[in-house]
Amino acid sequence: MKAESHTKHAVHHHGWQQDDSALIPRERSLMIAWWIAIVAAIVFIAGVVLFKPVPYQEIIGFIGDGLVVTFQITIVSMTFALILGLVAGLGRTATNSFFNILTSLYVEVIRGIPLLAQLFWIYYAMSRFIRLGPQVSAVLGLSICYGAYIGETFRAGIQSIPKGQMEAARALGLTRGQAMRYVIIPQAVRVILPPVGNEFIAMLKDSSLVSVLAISDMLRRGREYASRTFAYFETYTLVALVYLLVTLIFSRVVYYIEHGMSRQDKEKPVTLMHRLAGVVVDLVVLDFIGLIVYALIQPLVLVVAELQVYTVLLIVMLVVGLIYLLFFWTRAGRTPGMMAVGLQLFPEKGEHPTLSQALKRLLFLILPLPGLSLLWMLWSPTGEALHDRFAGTYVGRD
Amino acid sequence: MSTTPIVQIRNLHKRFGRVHALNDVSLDVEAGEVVVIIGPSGSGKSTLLRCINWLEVPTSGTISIDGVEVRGDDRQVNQMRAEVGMVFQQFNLFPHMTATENIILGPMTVRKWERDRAVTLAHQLLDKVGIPEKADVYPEQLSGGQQQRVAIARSLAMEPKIMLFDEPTSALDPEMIKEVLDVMLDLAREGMTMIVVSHEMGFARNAAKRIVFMDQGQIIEMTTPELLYTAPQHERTKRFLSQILH
Repeated sequence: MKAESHTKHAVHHHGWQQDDSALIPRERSLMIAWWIAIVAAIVFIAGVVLFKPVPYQEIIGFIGDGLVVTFQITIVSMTFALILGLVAGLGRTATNSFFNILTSLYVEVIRGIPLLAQLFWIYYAMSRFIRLGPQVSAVLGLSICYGAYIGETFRAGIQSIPKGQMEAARALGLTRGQAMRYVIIPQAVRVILPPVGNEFIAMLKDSSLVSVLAISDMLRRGREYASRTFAYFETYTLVALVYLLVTLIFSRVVYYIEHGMSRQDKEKPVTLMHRLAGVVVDLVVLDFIGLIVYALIQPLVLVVAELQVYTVLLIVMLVVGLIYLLFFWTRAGRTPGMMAVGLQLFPEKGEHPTLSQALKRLLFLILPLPGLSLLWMLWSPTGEALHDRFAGTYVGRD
Repeated sequence: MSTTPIVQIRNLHKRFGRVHALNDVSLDVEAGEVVVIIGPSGSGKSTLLRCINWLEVPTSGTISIDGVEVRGDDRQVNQMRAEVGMVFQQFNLFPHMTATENIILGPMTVRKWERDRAVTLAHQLLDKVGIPEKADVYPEQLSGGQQQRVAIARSLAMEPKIMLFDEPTSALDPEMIKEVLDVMLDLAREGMTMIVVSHEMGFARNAAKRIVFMDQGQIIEMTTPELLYTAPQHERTKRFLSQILH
């Protein structure tokens, strides 16, 4: 009786900790469907590339660098969209009516215009006043559009925190800003993270729209290939499957974030999938940070041009990765990725990792870094076509 | 007994749209005094409490805390709130923080204390409310009574001059009410000024010097608990007491 009423309270107070998966049979079917879809996609892609290398192998090589561009655009746009979204979300919950109306207007206007129309407007219509390159236009369009959606997610997350939390904080004498920072936002993040993950996936898919701005993302690369070889069926099938594969992986990560949030401090087995999901989150977060760091040091890289650019980038990425891990370990005992999926490095709070444990963890997390982080490093703001660096796969030249 | 009351409420009005929640309420509370407020739901007793620390802004009238009139600018209100602790019906603990972290947040952010100093105080306070072993536990792992005791410790960490209790035991299971009331009784004995909205008759009789009966936003009757429970003067008080006493 005691325990039961206690649980009732817990659920009442922290809606985000509800775990009623037993009541929703749909969960299990989704899980099975996910496995079927991903295995089928992998088997199909691997199968056609192995057994029918012409033209599939060539297609994979061709759209491969388009996938890199897709990732670049998504990660850069997502960074700006998150910043815009935070401003919009805070503005929509602010008491200052000017700030509130301004951000509400932004959300209301942007949500009412289709993304494709926004992209056209920024690239073509705005050229009357200021000419923006296709990549800047693409990033601008995606960021502004998704900033509005993410802003609404932030607003909903902030407003989902019971009113009593703000009151309790204010009653202690905290200012509104302090209450937001220490009490409301840390709780709202747990509510916000899964839907933001979904926005990330949606943006990954919607970034295919930027192919209309002559950006060689995956869809455009596919179109280029198909229009030369007339292999429409083969190309678009592969393009669709690669999108599916990437989306499936990220959707699983979001699933683990959703469930990880509710399994904090609870004794449940930690699977390999949990760990992998945590690593993916860390890599994405690292790429956001790495992007900013790289943008800041880019002029320096040009100065010391004798060094191979990639060597510099690799060193930067490793240093950023190391600082990132050490910073979060010493402060919180776990990285954001581990927090997101509810992993505790060590069961007891306040216990510090031994050197060998820390090293093991370090290796585990840092090994896949260079590969993924090269994705955004290849980003070239001057509009230099990426596929020139992969001349072998560029059919348009011959 | 001190000369100026620590809380001085004069002709307080509060309107929510067309609802007149507080209608000309005046009340003085001396330092070290325990005042219990009772009344039917919607009588304005919670609103009165929330006006005292400005969680609700009064429509008109004045409130003075420790001789200083509260005017309502942010800085002054924050300063005043640091001196006035509040305990809520729903505890309102911060679920993402352990008991200790809940308690040290106020001293560290408002009073700019060092962490070590705040933690030492937090452990003392947890000891005082009888749950020293729950220092590193999250609220969801605590029972309702334990949560409310942590909430009391959290308020005490600001070393307030006045404590406001808004129905502190109403959301608790019956067997947990006593542990919270015991903590409150200890506080009362130590001489804490307390304004308590609660229908716990035992607490009122043991701790309160005065009891206030409110109805429809007005103070109807104000006397000692003994007199109110045994010989209520007003018809409305009698009717209300007959309903809660069975």
